[in-house]
Amino acid sequence: MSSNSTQEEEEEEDAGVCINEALTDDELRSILARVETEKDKETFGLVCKRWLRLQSTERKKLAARAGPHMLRKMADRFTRLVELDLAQSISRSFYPGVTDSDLSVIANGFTCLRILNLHNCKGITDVGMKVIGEGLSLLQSLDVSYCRKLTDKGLSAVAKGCCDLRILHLTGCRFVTDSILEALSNNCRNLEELVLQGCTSITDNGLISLASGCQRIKILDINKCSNVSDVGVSSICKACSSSLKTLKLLDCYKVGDEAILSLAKFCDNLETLIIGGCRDVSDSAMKLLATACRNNLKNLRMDWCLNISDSSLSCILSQCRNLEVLDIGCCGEVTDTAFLLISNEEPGLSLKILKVSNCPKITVVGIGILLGKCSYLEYLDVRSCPHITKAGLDEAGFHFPDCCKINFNGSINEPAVLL
Amino acid sequence: MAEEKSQASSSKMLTLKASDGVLFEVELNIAKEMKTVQAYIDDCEDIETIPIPNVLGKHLAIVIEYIKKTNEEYDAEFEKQWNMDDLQLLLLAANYLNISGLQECLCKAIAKRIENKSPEYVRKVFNIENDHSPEEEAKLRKEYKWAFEGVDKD
Repeated sequence: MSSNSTQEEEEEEDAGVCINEALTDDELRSILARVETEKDKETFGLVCKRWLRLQSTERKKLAARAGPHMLRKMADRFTRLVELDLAQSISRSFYPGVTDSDLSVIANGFTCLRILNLHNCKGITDVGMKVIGEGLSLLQSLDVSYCRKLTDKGLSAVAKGCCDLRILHLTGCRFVTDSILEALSNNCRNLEELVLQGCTSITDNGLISLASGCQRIKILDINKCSNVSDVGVSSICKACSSSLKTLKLLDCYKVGDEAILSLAKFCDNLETLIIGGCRDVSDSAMKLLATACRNNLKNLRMDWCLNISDSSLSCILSQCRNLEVLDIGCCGEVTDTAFLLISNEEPGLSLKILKVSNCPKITVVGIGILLGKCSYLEYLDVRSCPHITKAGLDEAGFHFPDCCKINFNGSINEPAVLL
Repeated sequence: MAEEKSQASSSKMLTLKASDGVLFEVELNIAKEMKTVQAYIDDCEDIETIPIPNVLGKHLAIVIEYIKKTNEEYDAEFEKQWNMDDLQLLLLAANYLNISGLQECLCKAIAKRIENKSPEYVRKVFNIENDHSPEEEAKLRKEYKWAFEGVDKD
């Protein structure tokens, strides 16, 4: 008995000593993969050199503020990084910020990188973009919003080098022209998401170019690209007919019915549409759109569409039962009748957010009718509606859902949707 | 008994021989959950005794019991019974025998025991020597702090 237990004890002791040698890298990686918090992963790396190596090469994502020295170290250590977030903001910034030579370190060091966020890194230039294009051939997502110095030259280099690019954010890159759209069309066939908000030099020609090569676009944001018109937008609708889910045309005042009809004809998967400020859009076009996209439309912003009246609004609300967010601010022709004409079939409306600010013809009566058909309302914006006041609503005794907030005079924070 | 897997049409039994000579008779469909054993059977159909040279009888018994009884409840309680040494040896066994459910269960269990502990504790429990020099270790801790301070966590 005693000799057995000694033997067992010996075995257990040996087992204790040999374990780290016996567990292979794969087994340790499997354990590391199930370590959840940042802090515990850090602990893992501090245990010994071998565990540090495993932890470093396991790390897929990094968010940091780091100058070239730190970046170089990170590149040496985290060789298999997939996502790097260096976005700058009020709370996260440092002097002198991310520079072109930092991008050099990144391009040479993080060769597996797929996602790079350089939002607001104002110091970078075309030189840095060229290096990215040469070094990061696996890049799929790039955000250079507000990197104001960038031009077509640098960005085309990215398009040519990063052929698998799927997501590109160029908000505020005001020097960008149609030429980048051509480069994307020629090189980045898998493009799914393109944000060009504020790139005011973009024209219809650019969009037509884009449409010829990039036919899988899901999200296109050309808010404030005021030079585009129906021709360009229609070409995108046709080319990306099955994929297009989000189209943002804020203040593209040259866009009118023809574009809406193209959407209706080609894009029945549309979920989000922003045409605020497209003042030529008419009732008849919107009715066709509502019918075509009735299954999937969730978010619709059409403030300042001055020609919109009750007939198309009631059609939209009747047909698009999955609509959750609607903004018809400043659509001055709309009256209570629009709500009256909503058909009474089941199911009820899915509407959660409704903005009718500055619609002087809507009164508490209309709101009352709407409430009867829609039980999910969370936010109602009735600023500058002289016939809708707190007193008026209280007097009418309507029953609002419990969590519903009503904005009478701007004192409530707006929900972020549709901005 | 209701938790045991139902018998295959042939009630063929197989013998598994652990590294310390202990023998286990198991039903064919239980043995097949160990993909390594399955491969063995595929190669030589007539085999009756299969050697498992890397696994002690003590651990093989636990593994076989796991296969018979595994379900969500059982798994949740399973790992609580074993000390760290046994968990590691069981993980080695599960990997060698290629039993994915058990591998998953054990990795989670070990990771959980590292949760919220210091590097010193982890070294002790795994019997690992710290080969970071004190300067290196201090540098690592500092680097982490500066670069990621004030930055959103992953």
